[in-house]
Amino acid sequence: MSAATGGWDYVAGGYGATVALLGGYVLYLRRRARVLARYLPTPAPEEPPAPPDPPATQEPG
Amino acid sequence: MWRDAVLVAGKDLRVELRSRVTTNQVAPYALIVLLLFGFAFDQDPYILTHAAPGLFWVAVLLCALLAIQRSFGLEAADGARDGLRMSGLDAAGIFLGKALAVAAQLAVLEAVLAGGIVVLFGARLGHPLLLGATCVLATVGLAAAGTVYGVMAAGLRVRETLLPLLLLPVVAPVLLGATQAWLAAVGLSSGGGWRWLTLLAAFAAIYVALGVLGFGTLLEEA
Amino acid sequence: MNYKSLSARPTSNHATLVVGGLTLVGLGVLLVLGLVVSPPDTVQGETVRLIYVHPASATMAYVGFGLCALGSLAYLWPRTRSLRWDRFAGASAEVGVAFCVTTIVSGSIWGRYSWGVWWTWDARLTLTALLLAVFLGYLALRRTGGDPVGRAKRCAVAALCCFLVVPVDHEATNWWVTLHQKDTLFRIGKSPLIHGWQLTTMLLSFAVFGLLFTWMLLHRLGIEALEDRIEEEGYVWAVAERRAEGVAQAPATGPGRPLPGPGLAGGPAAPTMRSAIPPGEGR
Repeated sequence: MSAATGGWDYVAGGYGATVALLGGYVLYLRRRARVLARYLPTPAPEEPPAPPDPPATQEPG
Repeated sequence: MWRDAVLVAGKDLRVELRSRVTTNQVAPYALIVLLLFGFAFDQDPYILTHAAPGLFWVAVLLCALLAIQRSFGLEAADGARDGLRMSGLDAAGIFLGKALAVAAQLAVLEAVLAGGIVVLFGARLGHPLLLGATCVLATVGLAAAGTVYGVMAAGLRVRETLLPLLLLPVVAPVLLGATQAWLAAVGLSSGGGWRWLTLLAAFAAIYVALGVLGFGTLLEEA
Repeated sequence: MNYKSLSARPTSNHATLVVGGLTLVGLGVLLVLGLVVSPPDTVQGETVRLIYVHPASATMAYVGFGLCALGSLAYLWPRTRSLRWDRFAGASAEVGVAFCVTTIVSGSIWGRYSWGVWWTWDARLTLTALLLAVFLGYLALRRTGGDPVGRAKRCAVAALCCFLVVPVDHEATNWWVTLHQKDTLFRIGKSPLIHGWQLTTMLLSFAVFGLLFTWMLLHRLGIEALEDRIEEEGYVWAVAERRAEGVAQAPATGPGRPLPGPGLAGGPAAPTMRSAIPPGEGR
């Protein structure tokens, strides 16, 4: 098979594997960073979610 | 330092002598491993005879893992490691003592295994000086490296699975060197047996030195 | 919660953007030079093009392992002891492992073509495989968690232990092969004297992979920093958040009950909790 392609299939395999592995590692890093960031709030949240106003106290009875 | 080493080695060996884990569990395990190798290689006498040195050292490695885990398992319960840490014994002495105890057990196991490969695989033994030197140097190297990595993994929850992963790649040169030296000793490979001993000696020296220097730090954090 | 702004690119900064941009441009140029411009080889044919990825990748693997050892040494040295070095060691080991796997896989494909086998017990291959196994163990040790300082010490000693036997491994694999493999069937043939575009492309590949390595390392260091922040302050935040949630829900579940003290109600709680731990502690 490589005789027919002159070795291009192996070149494609080698380059493809390199791109796939290193690219996969980069994607993994990116995903890991995002997951971690989800657990960490921003240093100073601009507007903390305001608690809903407590309902007006009702007089019992 | 040496006095502490003898003390610790004596303690570990005394525990071994009373619990008989090495003789009642690890040694039979070693023989079972040899039997399994026999099954795997389909009783082909040629392969078995020629592979015997390598299989012997693989079996030794597997047993060494058990012996090392046992050596640090002893101190896992009842805060015994804290006791050891606070005993005021020299850390280098503790390292040498534990390594000595492991080496002594490995020596016993190697004797059992050597008998095993002679009987089961029809292996020949020859050139006692070269064989003996190989065993001594490889055992010292294995015990020293095993003690260093054993204490590294000792305090962790995943120690049983982590120790083989850490230790086996590191001791690969011991397996290589000891097997080649043994092959040369029984005449299965052409010469070069003594050359491999220098490798084994270098490995042993590196790990004994690392253990003497670094064991204190590791024990502190275990 | 509205933390989207941070989670978009949590480990990016100016340095990673610049290095990443350069890497992208470099990779593009390298692909064009390697696949189109540079000529095929008389001996290896088109597969010589693998020389533009494989050696550079192998070099980066060794660089990663070397940097890991240096970082560990710097950590153990009392005057430079800082968790920064521990993080550096861990990050470079992991990036090195990524390049090491890439090296072995791309080399295996190349070997299938030029030697006819996927794997051979050549000295350098065996040594690389051993190093990969050793550093996989190191990464596993890093992942055990626990007290950061204890883990850092343990890992630094482990890295040095791994690294100091590299010469022994090197000698062992060399002797082993030269003693046993007398027929050099699987040896790489004499590498053709490369020149012209081949040489240029190969030199460029080292530079580009160096940039790629740096870019990955920077991001990986950012992840270490995030992990440490979670370790240090994450749970304080989680507590504050839970408390805020509880306060927010309290009126719905128990309408008649008055809110607990003002310090615990909603927004102000979180900053108070956070200020208990100074940012950047232990870094």
